[in-house]
Amino acid sequence: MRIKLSALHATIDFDYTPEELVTKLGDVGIEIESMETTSVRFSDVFVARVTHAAPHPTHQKLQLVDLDLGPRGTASVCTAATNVLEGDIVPVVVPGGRTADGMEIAARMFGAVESSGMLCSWKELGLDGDLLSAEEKEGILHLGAGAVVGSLFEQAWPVGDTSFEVSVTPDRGDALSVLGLARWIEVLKARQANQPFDIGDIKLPLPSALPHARNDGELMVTIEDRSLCSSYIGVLVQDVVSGPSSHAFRTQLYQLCVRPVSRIVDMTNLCLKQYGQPTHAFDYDRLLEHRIIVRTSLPGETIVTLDGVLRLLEPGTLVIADATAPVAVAGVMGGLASSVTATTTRVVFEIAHFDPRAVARSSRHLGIKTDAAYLYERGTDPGLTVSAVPSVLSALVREQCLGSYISRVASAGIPVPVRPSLSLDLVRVNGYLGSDLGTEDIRRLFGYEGITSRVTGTTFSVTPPSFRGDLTAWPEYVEEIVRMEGFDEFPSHAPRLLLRRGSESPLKTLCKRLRQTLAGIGLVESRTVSFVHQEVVVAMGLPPAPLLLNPLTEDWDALRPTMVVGLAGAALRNLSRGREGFASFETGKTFSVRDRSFEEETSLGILLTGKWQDTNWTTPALSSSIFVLKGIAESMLHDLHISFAVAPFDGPLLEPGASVLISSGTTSLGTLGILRHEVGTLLGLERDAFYAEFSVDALLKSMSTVTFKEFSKFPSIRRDIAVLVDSSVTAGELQAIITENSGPLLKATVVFDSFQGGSLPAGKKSVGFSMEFASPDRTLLGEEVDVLVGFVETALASRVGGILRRTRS
Amino acid sequence: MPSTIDEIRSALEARLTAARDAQDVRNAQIEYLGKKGTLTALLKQISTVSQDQRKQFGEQVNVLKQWAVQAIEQRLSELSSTTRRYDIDFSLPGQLMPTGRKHILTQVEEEVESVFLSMGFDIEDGPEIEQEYFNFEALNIPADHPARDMQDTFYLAPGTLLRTHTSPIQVRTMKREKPPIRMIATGRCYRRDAVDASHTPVFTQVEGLVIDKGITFADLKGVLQEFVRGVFGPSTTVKLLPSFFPFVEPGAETAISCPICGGKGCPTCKNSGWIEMGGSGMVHQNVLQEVGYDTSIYQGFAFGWGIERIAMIKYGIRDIRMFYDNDLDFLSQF
Repeated sequence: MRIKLSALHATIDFDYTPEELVTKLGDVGIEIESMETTSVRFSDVFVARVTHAAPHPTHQKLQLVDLDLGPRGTASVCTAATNVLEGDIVPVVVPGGRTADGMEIAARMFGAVESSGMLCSWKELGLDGDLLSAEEKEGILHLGAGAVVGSLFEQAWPVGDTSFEVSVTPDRGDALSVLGLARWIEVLKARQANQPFDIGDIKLPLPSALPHARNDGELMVTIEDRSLCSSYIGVLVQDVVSGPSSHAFRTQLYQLCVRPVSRIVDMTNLCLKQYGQPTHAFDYDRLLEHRIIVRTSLPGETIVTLDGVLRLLEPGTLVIADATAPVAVAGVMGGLASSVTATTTRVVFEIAHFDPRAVARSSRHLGIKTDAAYLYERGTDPGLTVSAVPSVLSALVREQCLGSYISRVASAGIPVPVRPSLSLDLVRVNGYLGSDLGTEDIRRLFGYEGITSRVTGTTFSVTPPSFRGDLTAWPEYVEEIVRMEGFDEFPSHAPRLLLRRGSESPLKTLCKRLRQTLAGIGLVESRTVSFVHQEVVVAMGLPPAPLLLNPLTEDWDALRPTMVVGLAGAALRNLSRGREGFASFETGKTFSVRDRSFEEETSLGILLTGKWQDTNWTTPALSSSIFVLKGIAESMLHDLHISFAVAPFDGPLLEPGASVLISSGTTSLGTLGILRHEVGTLLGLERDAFYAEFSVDALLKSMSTVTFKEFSKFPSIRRDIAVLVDSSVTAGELQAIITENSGPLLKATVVFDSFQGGSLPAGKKSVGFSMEFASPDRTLLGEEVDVLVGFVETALASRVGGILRRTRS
Repeated sequence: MPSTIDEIRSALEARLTAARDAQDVRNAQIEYLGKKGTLTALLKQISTVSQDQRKQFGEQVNVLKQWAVQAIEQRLSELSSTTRRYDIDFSLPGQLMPTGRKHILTQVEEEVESVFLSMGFDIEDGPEIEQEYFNFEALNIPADHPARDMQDTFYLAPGTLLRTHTSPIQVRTMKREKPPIRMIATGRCYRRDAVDASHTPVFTQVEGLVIDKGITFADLKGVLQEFVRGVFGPSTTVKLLPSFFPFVEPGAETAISCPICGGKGCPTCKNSGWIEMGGSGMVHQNVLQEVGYDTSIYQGFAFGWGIERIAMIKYGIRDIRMFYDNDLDFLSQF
């Protein structure tokens, strides 16, 4: 909500600077988001009356205008504006003066005529265009009849001012008006002076007499459900003459940051902004049978709202209806058919108190957000609805000569129920806050806010003022105690908590460990958004991912079923900026739909592309490859003590024949391979990429407890063998034969070489193994190891026809 | 054979000058003065030279030997005292080593978690796809309450949404366990905010909850104070301002003394000396009743802060989008 300092000063006396006001309001929970001070930047601008306007004798596009400047005499100016007529009240800057944009004004000749000044539009005066009507922004600014001719413009229009943007939390509906802010300023003053809250300090008219109500055939108001509408007052005005508001009213609206529309609308807007009470104007003659019925909508009922949209009402929507059909969605928006038009002669103003939830429900369901709904949802003051606003509005009607007379006020729901009292215990309060307040302290603090309290022993009976609809339970009163005492005044201490060890889930611990290991290996952790484009998911050959009902953008309409999309995006971003490689991982949730239920699991994605290792004078560059990725996966699994096996795998993301399924026992841990080129292309990644994805939940399940194994303290002996076999024989098969045939003394085997082509016969490959032998209880002899290697060689020859290329010790 | 003597002398001289270390000199010593050395051989020759030349030759060889012994000693001492043994250009970079990194958000998250683990808090977890009940109703945010406007929500199905905060984990924990509760939860949350320098639809929260007999507002202030000291440094202080969050009452916005300027005022804190970090308060009675706790016995506090916000303040990052761009130039800085 935007409001100007002058409007607050007009409502309550206070001597805080704008900066102090911002801080002090912030201290009680009213946030001023921004503050802007504008000064008077023009000089020597006066209010003038046009006494004569005629075309310029020689300049076709100009008009010659004679002005009456009151005590300052008269002047003649030339203007190119076309909206100046005899009798108009306009601002003029005289020679020696300056416009808001800094232009110096001097007398100037146009043909044979001297122009001694310049008529001004809103721009030359630096006015706020957001607060002016379209007409006011058209050509020369017109001031109303109330402006004193000959006075300085800054006396006729509130120019230099400070405007505040107030942002309140949903419970602070009571602060969404000038009155509301003034009340909080009164609270600040009361607290500072250690005196009780005094509504009398507020200079706004706050009549408290209930209106003389007549609810008869001329206007008949019926409320069907009092829980949805506690009071409804219709003010009937006859012989309405519409048109723009007066000058004085107009400048008041400018201070209130309200853009003028018409006399009727301006009045309703003033009630809203100044008192926080939404009001609405109906054309009395378009209310069938002159009846107003506050009821809920029936199945199938529709309404065309003021914005011209036909809306189907959800049954149960709170509406205002005439004898047959809804004429407004209560508290949200009026209907077009019953709205005030240029030909309206009789108006009914609605002043009502609706249930916040009911208004919120219809506002959300219909998707209409209006200032009125915003206020109603946050709770309006039922006391004000009944007692003050009808009188205020009636007075306005009289002042502004809107209608010839006020016919009557038709009402229902008077008198308004008082806010209920509540009981509050001192011991409970102190036990909640860790404080040591006495009953007098609390009475005093409540007094600042106008909360009445009676004390019996250590028990308070508290009653809130009618504008504090947020005070309905005892902790809310505790909050007011803290608010008034100051949050910082309350004790703070290191919590007296029992000594104990904090714990985290094994899954969380595992995720931390995975990140640590992978970062240690040289991968960078990414965090990518969880949204993907369903079209891409399906094009990749994956089952459809969970769809969002209300995505932010079309490209982010589903939840990621895999980590590859985000990681590929991150890779693309880095490569496109000239990086030569990208090696990254991400842990997080991936999502799926199964039998209409959504599932999520913790996944780990690893993606390599381009250079794996940078180069410098000591180190050759190394491209990422499927074996770099496999090495990373193996290191990670070894670190977790997970024994695993790989098997060929055919899936949508990875190239067939170039991908494997990694499992531990019967549990699938994940897949690893070359990213399918089609998938890479879909994701914008043109070069080869290598991708692995693991289920962290599966990894957790497969981790085994580590127990100590006795190890040999004697020196080991190494033997290398290289064997020539058919290309179809895998290293894994050879390794299995070696393990099987070398007996328990074999400590480790490493593949040190694997190649084909070159001088080797076609269809053959050479694989070299380095074997390490050790005994737990003695130093081995070379000869006994040679015997074991002999067994291995024989087995390799007989099982896979391996031809021994060389044995080296 | 004077020429031979001169040749040997100049050869040894050159050899010693060229020597780069003591070992070179010792090798030369062996070569010339060793059992089979050149000079030793020359000494042996003295007796074979004819009588008339023997004296002169013997003198020359002995002079040469004395010079050689001295020259070798001198060169040895030179090498050990004045000359560097290695000539290494240490401005050259070392062998490249892996330089992986945890994401900055992970680093901050783990730091926050370790502060709370040390205070005996458990770390709880919960689903990202959440039921409306846990995300809203159970947290005192009924349908049609304006508080729902504070959090624009992504829906997957009626009643099923992406959690807008980590607070549903509070509810799940309380429904599962009896007090005392002392927990935090960190995790990804989602709000339907258009992307700009201070909003991303995906963000990370840390949520805390303590419920027991006699837990007070003073305890909340104490815990938050420890938290900010642990994360932002020991001189950081915390200030509470009244605010509204539906699941707490009293509710407070928490501000910390600006860690950039120490509270003196700078652009980061908009010259106020304070930076707003997140919400906190005493857990609302409705929330405790909803999970079946007896509010006449148990009470407590809760708080929820953004991990991105903590990281931005701590490291002076001005644009939240950077966390999710994964630019290596960004990630490798932390």
